[in-house]
Amino acid sequence: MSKAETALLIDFGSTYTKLRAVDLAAARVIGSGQGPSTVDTDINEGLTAALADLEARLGTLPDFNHRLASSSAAGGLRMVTVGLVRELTAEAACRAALGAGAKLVGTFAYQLTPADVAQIVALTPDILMLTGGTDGGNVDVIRENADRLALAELRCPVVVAGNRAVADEVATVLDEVGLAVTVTDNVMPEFNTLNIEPARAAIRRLFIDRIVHAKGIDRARKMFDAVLMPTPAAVLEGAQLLADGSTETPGLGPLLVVDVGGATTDVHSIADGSPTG
Amino acid sequence: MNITAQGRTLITGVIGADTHIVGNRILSMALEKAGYHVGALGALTPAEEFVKAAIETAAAGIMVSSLYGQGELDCRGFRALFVEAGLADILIYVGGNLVVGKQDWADVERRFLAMGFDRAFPPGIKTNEIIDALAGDFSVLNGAVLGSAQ
Repeated sequence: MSKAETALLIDFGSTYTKLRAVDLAAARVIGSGQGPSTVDTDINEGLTAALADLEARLGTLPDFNHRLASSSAAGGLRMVTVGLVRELTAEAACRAALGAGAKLVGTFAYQLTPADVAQIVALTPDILMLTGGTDGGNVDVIRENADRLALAELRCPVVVAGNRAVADEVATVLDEVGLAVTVTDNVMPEFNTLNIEPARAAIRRLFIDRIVHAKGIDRARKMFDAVLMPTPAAVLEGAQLLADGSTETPGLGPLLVVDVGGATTDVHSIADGSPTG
Repeated sequence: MNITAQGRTLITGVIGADTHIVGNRILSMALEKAGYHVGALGALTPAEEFVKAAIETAAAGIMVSSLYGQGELDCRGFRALFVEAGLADILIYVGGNLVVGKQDWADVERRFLAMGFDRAFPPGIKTNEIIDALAGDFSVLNGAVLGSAQ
């Protein structure tokens, strides 16, 4: 089989590392394999076992043109979100995080209490997202929360996606204590208007640039080209493709996808919410 | 542009189980034209949503509409919600068909002011009268801030 025709798709799962070999020209899955995930020890072991399994089924391993991965290993992308009003910016932050394929381990609203801050530190999130205030709206709470987080022993990168009037000031407060800060557009720039795509993109960027390394997944980097996204994000992308279709194939339309995994069950929906019938 | 409007956000909405949106929409458009930033909650808005919107947007004022006659019930405890949320002094106006049937307006107005509204407006009010009232009230607030800063 020529190099130009095949792709190796890897999912570093919480329990199993799973592989699919795809013939791109024929648009066909030609083989699959799996091995127990071994991120805690050496990720190469699990991937090698999965590749051996794939080879046993295919007879020989193609010289893959693309080798791309998703990951929910090592607990997945664990995130904490902080917003202002629970049903508004706090909820928008949750949606941004979930849409990026993160596993929400804590969600906080209003001014963080000392107990809240202690809980956040104890959760050891991979990324914290700080939001609050529409653009031109409330400035006090996001500032106060940044001050409180700066005094804590937070160790993870922070995405600031709140009131643009104070976003840079908030970022400086966190940067000055050595945190890696990314500022992006407000998840709720106007009252009740969601704008979560920039935050999702920022989370995905951090995942690729930092989290993959932090979790030891890139120890296997000789065996793949890139880890593109957390597994739930890959499922959501797949669900979107299935719902919307392509230029050549019509989609299924509005869709609900339930992914029953080894550690979590994730539900994804693709719909514009319009009434039908 | 109204100088007192600049940089100020107002939250508008129709409170309770009321679906009458047209008057509130006309008011929202007039407020935007006067230079206010408007967070429009629309019809069927529970009281708490006005508070949440006010917190998130650091709103300067709340404009409550009620047209189906049940306003007095829906507005009970409204100011208290803002007090609870740390916004005790926020400007709150109410207008529309606030009561069932034809009642003496002076009496209706007195009851709504007693509930904590800063101003109440009868049916048939023109939007420019509301905007003038806002300008007056915000000028007084500006003056109070300047006075206390001296």
